[in-house]
Order: sequence, then C-alpha cells, then structure tokens
Amino acid sequence: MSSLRDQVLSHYRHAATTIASTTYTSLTPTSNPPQSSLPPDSDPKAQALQDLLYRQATLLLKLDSTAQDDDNTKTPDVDQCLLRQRLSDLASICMTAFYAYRFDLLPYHWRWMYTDTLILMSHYKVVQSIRRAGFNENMLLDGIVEDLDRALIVAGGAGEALGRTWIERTLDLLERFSKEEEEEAARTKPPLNLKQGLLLQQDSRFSTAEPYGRPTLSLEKTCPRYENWTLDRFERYMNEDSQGRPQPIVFTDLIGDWPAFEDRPWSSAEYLLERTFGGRRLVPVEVGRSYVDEGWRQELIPFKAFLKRYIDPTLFSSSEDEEEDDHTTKEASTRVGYLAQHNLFQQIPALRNDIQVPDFCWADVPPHPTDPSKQNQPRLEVPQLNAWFGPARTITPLHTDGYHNLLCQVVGTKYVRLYAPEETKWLRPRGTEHGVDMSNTSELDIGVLEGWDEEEEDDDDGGGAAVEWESVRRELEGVPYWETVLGPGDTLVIPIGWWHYVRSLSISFSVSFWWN
Amino acid sequence: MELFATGFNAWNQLTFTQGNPQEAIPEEPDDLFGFTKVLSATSIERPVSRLTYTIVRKDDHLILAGHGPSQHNLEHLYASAETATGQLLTIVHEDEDGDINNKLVKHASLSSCSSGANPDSIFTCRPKATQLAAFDIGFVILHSDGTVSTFGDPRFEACLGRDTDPPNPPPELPGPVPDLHEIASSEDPIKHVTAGGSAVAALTTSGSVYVWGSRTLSSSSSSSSSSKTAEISHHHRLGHGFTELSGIPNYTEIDGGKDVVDVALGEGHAIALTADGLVYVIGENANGQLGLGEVGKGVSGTDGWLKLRFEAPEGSKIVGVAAGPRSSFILTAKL
Repeated sequence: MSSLRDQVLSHYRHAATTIASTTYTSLTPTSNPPQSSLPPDSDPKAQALQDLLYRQATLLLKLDSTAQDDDNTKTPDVDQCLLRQRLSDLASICMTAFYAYRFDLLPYHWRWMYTDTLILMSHYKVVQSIRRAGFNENMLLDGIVEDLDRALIVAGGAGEALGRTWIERTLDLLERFSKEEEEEAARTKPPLNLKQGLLLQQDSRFSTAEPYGRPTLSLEKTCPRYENWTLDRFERYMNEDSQGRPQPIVFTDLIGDWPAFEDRPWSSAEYLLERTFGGRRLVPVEVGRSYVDEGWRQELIPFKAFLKRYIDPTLFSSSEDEEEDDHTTKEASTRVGYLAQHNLFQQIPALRNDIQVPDFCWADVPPHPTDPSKQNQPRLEVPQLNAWFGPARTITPLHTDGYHNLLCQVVGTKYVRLYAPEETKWLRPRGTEHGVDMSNTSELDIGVLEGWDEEEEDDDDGGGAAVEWESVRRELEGVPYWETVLGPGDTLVIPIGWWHYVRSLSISFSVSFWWN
Repeated sequence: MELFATGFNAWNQLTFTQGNPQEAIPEEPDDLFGFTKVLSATSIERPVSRLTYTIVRKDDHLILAGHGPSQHNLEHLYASAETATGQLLTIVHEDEDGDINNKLVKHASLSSCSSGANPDSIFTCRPKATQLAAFDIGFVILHSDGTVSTFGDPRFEACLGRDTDPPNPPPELPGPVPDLHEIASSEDPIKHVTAGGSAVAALTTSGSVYVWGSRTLSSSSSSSSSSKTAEISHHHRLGHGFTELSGIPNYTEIDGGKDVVDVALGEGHAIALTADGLVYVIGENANGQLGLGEVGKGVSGTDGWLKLRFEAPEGSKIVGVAAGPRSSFILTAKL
C-alpha cells in the first residue's frame, strides 16, 4: 500500500473525528469568524444541524474502519443510502440558509457547517474508492475535487481546525497520489490515454485572433503609456502632480518579469490544465453577455469544461464526451462564459507563484475625488487579487469600484473605456434593484451606443425603463473619456471612482489588484 | 382523532414519544416514506412543523417531537410564523378595538424574543389579521375581510406577489396582493394562506388555490463588487414543486378542477385536501414528504398533482392537512 494513500486516509479520518467533536453554535451569530462564545441557544436550528453532522461523521468513521479491513466482502453495519441522503440533506439545508440571508448577513456557522458537510461527502467518496479499484476509476476523483472546491468557493473554506488549510493540504495529497497511481498504471498497461484522456492539439497556445474586430481608438482620447517609473514617481503622480485627481494611464514595463509570460505560460492550455489538477478544479463562470442582462447566471464547472465550452473547443480532440457535446456546443455558440472577478490565486495557490504584486499597489493614494461616501470600503491590509479569464467579447458593463485598481493584461487583448468621476451625472447610475444597491453600475451599454453590439431584446418587463439610445448618444456627445487597448504586459491604472467599461477583443486573461 | 405523518425525520420530529420527547435518539432515524399514524387523542389540532421539530396541540396541551425548543417557548412558537432566517411573526390581540384591528409583532429570532428584547417591528393590521404563514424570506397575512398582505426581503419580489415601487408599500411593510383581490372578490374571499420555501398560496372560500413566488430564491441582479459567495450555483438546492411560479398569483388545477378545502405548502412540495375527501400531493419527495409509500422511495418528486392512496381509518374521515418544510400531515376525525 502506498504511503500517500495512507496519508490521504488518515488525513480524512482526522477530519471526521474533528467534525464529530466540533461545536459550531458557540459562535458569534455574525458573518465574521468566531471571536467569543455566546449562549448555544442563539440558533436552535444550527444546533440541530450540528447534531446531525456529528452523527454522520461518526457513521462515516465506522464505515471507514470496516473499509480498511482487507476482507472487502464484509458489509459494514451502516445504512449507506441513509448516510448519503443525510449528507445531501445537510448540504441543501445549508444552501437554503445561504440564499435566505443576504450574503453579508449570513452567520459564519452556516458556511462552516457547509464546508464540513462537503468534507464528509468527499470522505464518503474516498471510502468508496478504497473499496473499489482506485481514485482514477469511476470519476470518483472528479467528484472528490468538486466537493472540496465547492467548500472553498461557495463557503470560503470556513472552519477552525479544518477549513481552507485542511482542504488545500488534502487537494495537494490527492494530486500527488493521483499522479503516483497514473504512473503506476502507465507502467503496467500500455498508455491508452495520456493527459487524463483528454487529448490536446499539438500546440495548446490560445489563439490571439480578434474575431469581432477592434474599436478604432482616437488619438487624443488614448491613455498615455509610460515606462521606467519609480514608486516615488508614481506616488507623486497619484497625489501632488494630479492634485489628488489622477487620470488613467498605462504602464508597459510593470509585469514583464512575471513567470506567467514565459516559464509558466498562462497562454498555454496545457500548462493551465496541469496547474488545475488536470482541469478538475472548479471555477466560477459568469454565463451571459453582461451581469446586468436577463438570463445572466453563474455556474461552477471544472476548469477543463470551462476551457472546452467557453474558451476554445478546438483545443481538444472531439472524440470523447459526445453526448455532452450536443448540449454544450449549442450553449457555447450562444452564450459567453467568463471566469470573472474570482480570487483564483487564493483557491489555487500554485498559480499565485506565477505573478507578483506590483510595487505600485503599496503606493499611498488619494481618496475618492468627488464622493467620500463611496470610500466606505474597509481599508485593505494587502492588495485584493482577482482573475479575469474569458473568450473574445466578454463584457464588464460601465461601473466603478471602491478601490484603486491596477489591471494587468497577461494573455490576449482588452478594450477599456473610462469616464472620470466628475462625469457621473451623464452616466445614469442605476438605483436600488431588488434591494441591492446598483449605483456603482451605469444603465449605459457602451457596446450598443457604439454600434458594436445589438441591444438585448429579451426584456419583457414592458420596457418601462428602456433606454432611448439616440437621445443618450446626443447627451453623451462631448462628455470626455479615455480609452485604450491593453496587450500582454500592459498595466492600466484605474483610479478610484473612475467609470470603466471592459471588453475582451481576443481570448484574454487579466489580473486586477485593488488597493486603497 | 388521529394524526398521520410522512417525510423528513432526521431528529425524530415525526415520532411522538408520549413521555419525554427529548429522550435519547436511538440510532440514525430514517425518514417516513408513507403516511404513518403518529398520534391519536380525543382532540388534535393542526400541527406546526418546522425543519427539526413538530408541535401539536393534543387534548389541550402542546407536545413536541424532534430537536426542538424548550417547553416554555412552545406556546409562542406554535402561534408564530417563522422564516428560514428565524424571524418570528406573531398576532397580538388587544382588548380595545379588538374587533377592528390588531397588531403583528416581529422578532429577529427566538432568542431575541425570549430574552425580552424589543421587537424588530410592530405593525397595526386593519382589518385585523386572522392567520399568518412564513416563507423562507418573508410573511403572508390573511385579514378578517378575506384579503391578503405580504412583506419580506426586497431581493425576492416574486414571493411578495406585488409591486414594491412607490406608491405601493415598500417590501418591508405589509402591502396587499392586488391580483389576488381581483381574482377572489368579496363573494369568494380568501379563507386560508400557506407558504413554504419560496412559494406562497391562498385558498378561496369556494375552493380555488392560487400560488405565487419563484422556483428557487435567486437574485436577479448582482453588482460587480459584491461577493459572489452564495450567488453561485444551484447545486444542493431544492426547487419548488410548482414549476411555473411567478410574481402573479396563478390558479393551480387539481385533478380537472376539484374544489379544495385545505392546502399546505412545504419547502419544495404541497399537499391538498379536496372536497370529495381525497388527498393530492405535488413536488419534492427526496425525504418521503409526498407519502407515496415504499414504492415511492426512489421517486425524487412530481411536477403535477398526484392523487394519494390514503384511506382514513374505519369510521373516520380526513379533516385537514398540514406540511412541514419537508414533511406532510393528515388529520382524521371520527364521523
């Protein structure tokens, strides 16, 4: 028996033992991690769930211990059907809470219990895989990775003794063990299917084509491009030189030394698949043209499926997943999928090593120039990273962020249009929609205004709020803006409060750094 | 009278041990997949069943099954409606003007309520409120004149069944469901309201059921800099059995348009009693809440009303139905 296999198993047994003795409801009933103990009757429903979770962890340990016996014929004294049902009950009860509470009011223990439920679900699959052949059979490994990633992405890997740290360690062990099993299999059998059965084309670099063309930039509106600036020079620009009202500018030499450009190429599907556990890791994908459109939704899918469905189906051999293809090709032809505003680097730390936080993110920067109330974002201790990865023509509608932003382009090209905070009155900020403050997003669709896109026709609300594009065009005439096309290696400074519209021209991978 | 129950039973919430209800749970209790007699007594009132417990008034005292609150909270919980976030709404009867109006008191949670903290809000109801029900994120109120109001979380307007833009009352304040008042005129007022998950229903005196809400709670908008944590996936989520829910109350036809005398909604299912004494069910069945029996154990649910094979005991008839989030109840009485 391999020692890695033993490590995975004992790691899981430790987790179940921990869950069987956790007290979730001694937590503060807030969305923050626990700080002090409170009366346990503050949330009786959560208490009942804790009890249920405890029982399932105990049953799982019992099942696990019988599975360890070499005598696989012995049936364990555990109703596995009921165990699966109860784990699924726990997950769906937690999800109800996730939706019933506004996300910022969700008590921490719900995220914690969901994380622990998913750890137990993956444990159950691990136990099953011991009883059968191994991890790489029967897609069990895919399911295990999916459970753990759901806990990370949906619940933020909440927990004390386990949580994110435990999950990362488990994924690492699983990945090493899976490689070991693969190598073992390759030695004993002729290599039937390389690369997890997913044959890449010879050259797995993403296409740099711009299939929908490129807007013509006007010379006087194009953001100036600079290089060779020191941090000191940048700070002076952001503060004294601009009197606290810096304009958007592009740096061409801030990120050239990132490994993501050369040794660890993000432009290579093969490299990205390798970094994502053979494409098994889940990523959140926004499906639909823009987050303000009807029918827009988010889904969590394996990275491999994201590449195949939304980035470039031609990268992969079409021989497999035939039954899936029918559905997904149709979907892909009409829908854009965008891995947007996701901290991929926290979820997959291996990718974090491919980039560096630019020094400029530590610069002292001025507050919001026109509206201090937009400054209500808490002070960030470290810059906040987000990944933005999608095909051509992903659109982020005109909006503002509560931070200064360095938008770094790694793969492909992106068009960005920017309006100063002073122009807000022309930009039709949205109001409160369904209880959500949408005032950081404009009603204006730059793509429609410029004639790049068709207007969405599926608004069957009666069209009361429909925007009269002709009159808007007249209104906007003469309102100044900046624009730029970012290519690999470019960094755009988007000062706080600046409205920006972002549109990918080709397959594009960017990283944004927010700071204040 | 006798009480029959089916469905989610992870905390023995369908098992009334006549002595101490909190006694140790033996092993892992399984769900009930068919209607099972759980209680008999001279008088049994309609149970109030929540996710982890059930309260029933039996021969004039309240009894509890499952993982529930302490005895001194039973009366309050039995009389209140509770959302998925634990908000409690209760009708308070006052002496003066008691005939014309009364008050609704909302508490953020049971602990805020039993610690004597001030309520979140107090609403005056005129005409007075006669019955309440809660869905995941809000409440529905039946008034004495047969009209219906709703209030709750502004994110999910469809559950409110009404517009919330001015001059209509905002989502946080009770406001009338106008379409319902057109449907159910003064000749056929609403006599009962029920709700569960993200669905709400009203039953008219003549026996028509109208439902509204959304299949699942999902926000229709997301702002760029908001967290995406929960807004991400429909995995591990139940949808309601009524597949065509919207913000407009819609007639639901049962077996060719039978008149309905009682109806109850769970989180993802519903149960109805028709005038001819038959029971119909619809929706989610993962925990056996439809009571289809052992044969229905693998049936995950149905999106049409299904006639149930249930016969009241000899000499009895069905007098009412009730639902917990994932359970159903049938109440029978001697003829």
